[in-house]
Amino acid sequence: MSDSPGDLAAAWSEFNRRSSDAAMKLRAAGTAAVGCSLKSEVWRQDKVVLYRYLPLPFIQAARAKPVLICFALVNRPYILDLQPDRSLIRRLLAAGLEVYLIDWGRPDESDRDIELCDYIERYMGACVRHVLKSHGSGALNLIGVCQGGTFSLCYCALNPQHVANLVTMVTPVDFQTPDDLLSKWARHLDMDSIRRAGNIPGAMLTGLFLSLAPFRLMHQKYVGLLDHVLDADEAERFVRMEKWIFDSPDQVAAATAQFVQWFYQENRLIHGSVELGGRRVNLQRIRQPVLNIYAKQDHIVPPSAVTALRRYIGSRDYTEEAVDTGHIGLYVSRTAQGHVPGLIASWIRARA
Amino acid sequence: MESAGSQGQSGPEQAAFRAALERFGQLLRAILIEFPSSAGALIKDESVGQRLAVEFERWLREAASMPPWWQNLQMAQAFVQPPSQSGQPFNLGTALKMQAAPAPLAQNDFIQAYQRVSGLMARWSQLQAQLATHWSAIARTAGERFIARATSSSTALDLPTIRKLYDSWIECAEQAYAATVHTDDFCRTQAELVNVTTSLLLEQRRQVESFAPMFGVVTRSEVDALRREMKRMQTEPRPASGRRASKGSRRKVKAR
Repeated sequence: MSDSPGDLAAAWSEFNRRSSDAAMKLRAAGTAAVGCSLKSEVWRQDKVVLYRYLPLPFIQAARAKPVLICFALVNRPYILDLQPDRSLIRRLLAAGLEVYLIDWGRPDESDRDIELCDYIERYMGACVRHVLKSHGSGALNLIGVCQGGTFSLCYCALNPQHVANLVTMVTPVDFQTPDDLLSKWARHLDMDSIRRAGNIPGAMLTGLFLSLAPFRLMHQKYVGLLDHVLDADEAERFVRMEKWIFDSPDQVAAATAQFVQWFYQENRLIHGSVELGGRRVNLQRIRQPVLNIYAKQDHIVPPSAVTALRRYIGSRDYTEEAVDTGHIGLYVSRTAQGHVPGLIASWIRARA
Repeated sequence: MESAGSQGQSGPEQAAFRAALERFGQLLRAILIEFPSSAGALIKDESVGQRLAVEFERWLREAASMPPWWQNLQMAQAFVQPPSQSGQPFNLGTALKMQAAPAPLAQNDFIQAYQRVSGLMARWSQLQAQLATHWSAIARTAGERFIARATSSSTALDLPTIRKLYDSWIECAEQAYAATVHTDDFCRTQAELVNVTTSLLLEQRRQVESFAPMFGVVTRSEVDALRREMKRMQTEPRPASGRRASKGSRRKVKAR
């Protein structure tokens, strides 16, 4: 910060100057849009929308089945297409893949009775059928991210004929590993009461995730901005990330209660006792190739929760990839951007 | 392209940014006041460390520095922080008693509701006190770890040094925090606090619901029942259309 050691009064002035400067630049960057790739809505039911991303010009289409991305309910999916140089989707398009994305939308109180079965079998199932019909294909490549990965595992176990290859990213499988703080906090919640109280406010979710490492995420991150003079691009990137972090949609009461109870409190996924629409989710039925990507420093979904997958699925073609970053870093960090999209694209192409 | 939440306006992320810088500014000010003659001089790390530990502990103990994640459930705060001057828990029934004639609820119901709320509030306060004990432990452990890290060497007290000390304290605080929040006792206390807060919220709603019909307002239960009925109609298989049904009945008539 200061180049004049010992001059604390000067340093104080400099702190003030840098604070004002950073605040001004962040304010100016406040109009930065999120989501950079062109897409069109191809299907919609209630608040759920299926988007197809338009192919990039001058890119030859890869000989591969279409890719469907299923993101989590707890955050907005535009993190996967944040800006041109931080976009998993754009890089998949650049590899010639056809990319679709399920956007769960922003539920309100009229959606409070939507259940997990609705999300996975009704909405996700309809999206898969739409993509398959559009391409005249029998199966697609499914990429599940975080909670969306858990949904993808459930869907794939119930409908294996529709999934050619499965990619899971930072996806919890064993919800009760010793280092899983979210799981410990959720263990004693009365989900029946919480369900009756209505949808969970999005701000509460944001607070929950920040509370996992509050000093780092609520204090140090911002003070670190003053270490050097921010340039406009950096300020825009920071603002986009911040907007995404604080942009959690409200969570549907019924589905959230089921998710917390079945997965976090009862760890049903690995015990084969999740039941959707009267059918049991048996991970052994997943026999297609699986690529399981996780972040080594993930504080939300610890690596142990992710790597458990290999023990429960029936696939013989299982690849595991660890990336030296955090949970959100896996979507947008420079390290991940330079590695993960290319890995996914080549893994899919090799199994076309 | 999508516009995210509070674009161009002052959102929660900007508030978080301001709060963090304000904290750091307070820290700097405290050092400036404590060691006014230290500009350019060498100060023992240990003494700065101790002073900062006090400052950090004060910061940690202030509830505002660490809003709990379940803060948003405190829509039930009408009970928890009674708006009335009397200090009695807020009770919509009592508040409306003057206007309501005749009273829509039996006296017995009022008493039961009051007892439920009082019991929940008492438990809520107990749990808050238990959680405060955990926070004290976090603050104390973070301070101890931080002081233990400070060496006895001397250093120039400039901004980069303070910044390093700040990072070091953040690390200590996160370690102390992690050690506490993973414990079974903390998890149970926090979960029960959420459960009690939720119960207060539900109790509040129950009371509001009991008065809604008086004002001709649709209740939450009625809306929920309507929504469930609509969902049932959407998901249940539709009966044969009227046209077909009538054709069928015509055929049956002819056959007779």
